[in-house]
Amino acid sequence: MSQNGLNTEFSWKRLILKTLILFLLCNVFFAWISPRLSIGKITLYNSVFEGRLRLPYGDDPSKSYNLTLNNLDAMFSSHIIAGNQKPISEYRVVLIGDSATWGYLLANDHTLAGYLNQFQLNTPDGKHIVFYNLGYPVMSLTKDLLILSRALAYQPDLIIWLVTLESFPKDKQLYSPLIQANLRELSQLIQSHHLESWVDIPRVPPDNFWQRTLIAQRKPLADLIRFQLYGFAYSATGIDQDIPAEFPPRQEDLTNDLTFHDLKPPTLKDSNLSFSVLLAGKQLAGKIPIIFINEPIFISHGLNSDIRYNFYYPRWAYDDYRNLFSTKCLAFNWTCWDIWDLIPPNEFTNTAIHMTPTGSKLTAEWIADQLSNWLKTQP
Amino acid sequence: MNITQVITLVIVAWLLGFLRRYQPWKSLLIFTSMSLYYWLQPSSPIRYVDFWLPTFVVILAWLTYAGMSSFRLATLRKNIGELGLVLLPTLAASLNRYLAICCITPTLPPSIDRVLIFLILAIFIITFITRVLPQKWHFPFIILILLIIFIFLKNPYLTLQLSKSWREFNHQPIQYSLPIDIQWLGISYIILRMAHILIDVRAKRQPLPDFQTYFLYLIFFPALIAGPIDLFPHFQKEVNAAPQTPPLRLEGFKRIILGAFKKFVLADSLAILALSQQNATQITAPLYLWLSLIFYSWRIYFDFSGYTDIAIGSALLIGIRLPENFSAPYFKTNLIQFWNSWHITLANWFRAYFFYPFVRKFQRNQSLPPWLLILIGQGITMILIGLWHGISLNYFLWGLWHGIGLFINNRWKEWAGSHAFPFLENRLTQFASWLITFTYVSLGWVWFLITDFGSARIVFNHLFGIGL
Repeated sequence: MSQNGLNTEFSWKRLILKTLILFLLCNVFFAWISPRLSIGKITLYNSVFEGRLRLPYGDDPSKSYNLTLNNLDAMFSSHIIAGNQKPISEYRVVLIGDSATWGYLLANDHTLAGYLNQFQLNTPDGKHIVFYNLGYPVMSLTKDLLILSRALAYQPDLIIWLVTLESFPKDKQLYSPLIQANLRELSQLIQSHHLESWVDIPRVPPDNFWQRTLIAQRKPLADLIRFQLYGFAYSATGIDQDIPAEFPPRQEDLTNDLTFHDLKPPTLKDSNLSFSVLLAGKQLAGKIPIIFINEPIFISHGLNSDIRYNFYYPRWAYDDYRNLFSTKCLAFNWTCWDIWDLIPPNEFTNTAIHMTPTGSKLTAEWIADQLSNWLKTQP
Repeated sequence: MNITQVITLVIVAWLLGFLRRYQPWKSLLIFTSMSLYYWLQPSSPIRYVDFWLPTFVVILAWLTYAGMSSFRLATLRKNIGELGLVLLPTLAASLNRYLAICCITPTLPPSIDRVLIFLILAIFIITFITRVLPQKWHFPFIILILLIIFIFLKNPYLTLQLSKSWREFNHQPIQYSLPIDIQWLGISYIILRMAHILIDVRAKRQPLPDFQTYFLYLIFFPALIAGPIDLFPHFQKEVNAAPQTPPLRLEGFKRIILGAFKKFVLADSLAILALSQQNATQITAPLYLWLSLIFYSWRIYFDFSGYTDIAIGSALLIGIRLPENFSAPYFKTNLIQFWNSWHITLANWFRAYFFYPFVRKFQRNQSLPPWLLILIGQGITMILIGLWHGISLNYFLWGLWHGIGLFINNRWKEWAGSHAFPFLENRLTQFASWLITFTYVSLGWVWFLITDFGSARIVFNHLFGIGL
């Protein structure tokens, strides 16, 4: 006891009590503020660090200086597209698609967007065409739609949506963690735009108080902080993917399995695939044109290549899909380009859709040519 | 150490602090330290390695103790009971083969009969040495053994050879051998502690301790992984002292919280930004490279001093005060001050057992001019400190870098001291001194971090905008 009568002696009980109260207050405050503040939008990218050229995705963060996040706010706020106001002289094109568009095993310069930007294309009225890579390594049209809905906020003039059959089956629509983490946003998207639902989306109740606390949110929060820190290494090196010198090549010899997912020959029906997602995308985009591209695939010449094109696709399923794709395009008057066999087999890397830099460049050249012609036909 | 291990150590230390007033406390501390040693020892793909390595510490301790007592059977006999006590945790850990309780040993230990045969054989060999080795050879023989162990464990090539031989002995495939298969937890510190007592007892600066306290000094669990390297007389005094009133628990917890914050928040976050073996040649822009180097400097400081804070804090919970290892090293204005405040106990060890005896020997002979004596003495001391971290070219160069820096600092200090320069005391000069010291130390970390000379050279070039 001190002379002025105040108890200045250390008390463990008081320390523990104060710590607990402070801890509880922090959690209550965070739980209160988190729905009001989109934490993912707080970013060091595009200010302290350079904006990323593609959406964050990383298998080994310590080597790729990248991180797989399921927070769409954080993903977009780190992207270069969120960094600057669109200049009047810019014709903005966003590329949406799977890992082939994102550029798996490709440096940023060698992705489709990378090459297309290197070509320095202009529109007939002299605007500079800038391509933004919004591909993401998940094969699901619903994931593409979610990204498309976010991309619209960045005033694209054109959307190029690269698709392949593996993104169409019903069972692929909700499987990825990115979609699972954003089911509520997807539901709201479907409801607010009165889209025809293509899959049963489970109802996700709003987060309760406990789920919003610091304790419950510690992993996503830690990921967000780590992701910001990786911005330094990304800016310093330009590396956002660990590309090994060697990797197992795409499968050349194939099994004699004729099934595609749960589907069996002879025919693939419209109802088996999620074409309605493309329709929803068109609806969402409104007046912004979308070009659908059936992306190149590896065509095997190995064992059982008479019944299968590659690891993913039996021939009957893929041929039917292409027919359905062209029928839909005609029926809805969509702009569709089918370049499924554009790329020679040796220009594929570890899967039937991932391309070498040469394969990617050939695709980009073809798209650049077609796009120049297409732009001339636009009012 | 991960956070779970830290929390476990803290809880154990806290409980031991409460038990201090009870009589078998020291034995309990040994039992706990040794059990934690088995628990913390990294697992190895080579069968039983993670059990045998901590067990060898007991044998080495007995060997060095026998050496200190000049292999006098009477002394050994007097302490054999204490050896038995020390071996209890080993036998208890080996029982885990039959109990298979999680985490007591990293992998399944060998059978207890094998452990017993090994221990009896080892004690027999040590006793045999007593009979055959002339007394004057005892000290060099033990020092040589410690040196050989150290060299084999600190040189990646030799560790790989050891790993291969061990695998061959176990009939395991040798093509998967890696140096990392043999990681002997805390052995660098244990060897320095052994050498310190051996030298001091031989020089009669220190009486022969009892085996129990000696062994506890070697493996005291808070200081097992990252030091600090306490001096035995101080440690003995702390261990044998009556429990402090009031207890040091509050101070201990404060240090542990500070250490955990340094290690798990600051150091681990800085690790993402810091220069690394991987990004060293990927970053080419000088500004980013300098920043990442500065981040590395702070990362290594927070990492190491964080561990030290946890060690000192845990020891305080037990009621033992360990020496400080850091004293704001990055705020020092010259390299001499830096080395008086960075890894203090290691630097003191090498000063006490190499630098001062070396300088004294040559000063007596007057065979070398003072400046050359300092150059050679400081150069070799710093190279030895470098090689203590690992026997490879990069650590040699790191040591040499600091040896040269200390020599230049020493010469400057002497020259400036003989001239009265008022500007040396002004703030700008002090700031410049700090900047030069911090930059020099940071550049030194390039040698420390990057194992191949070619990459280190590229980093130096890029830092100064050469060859971009």
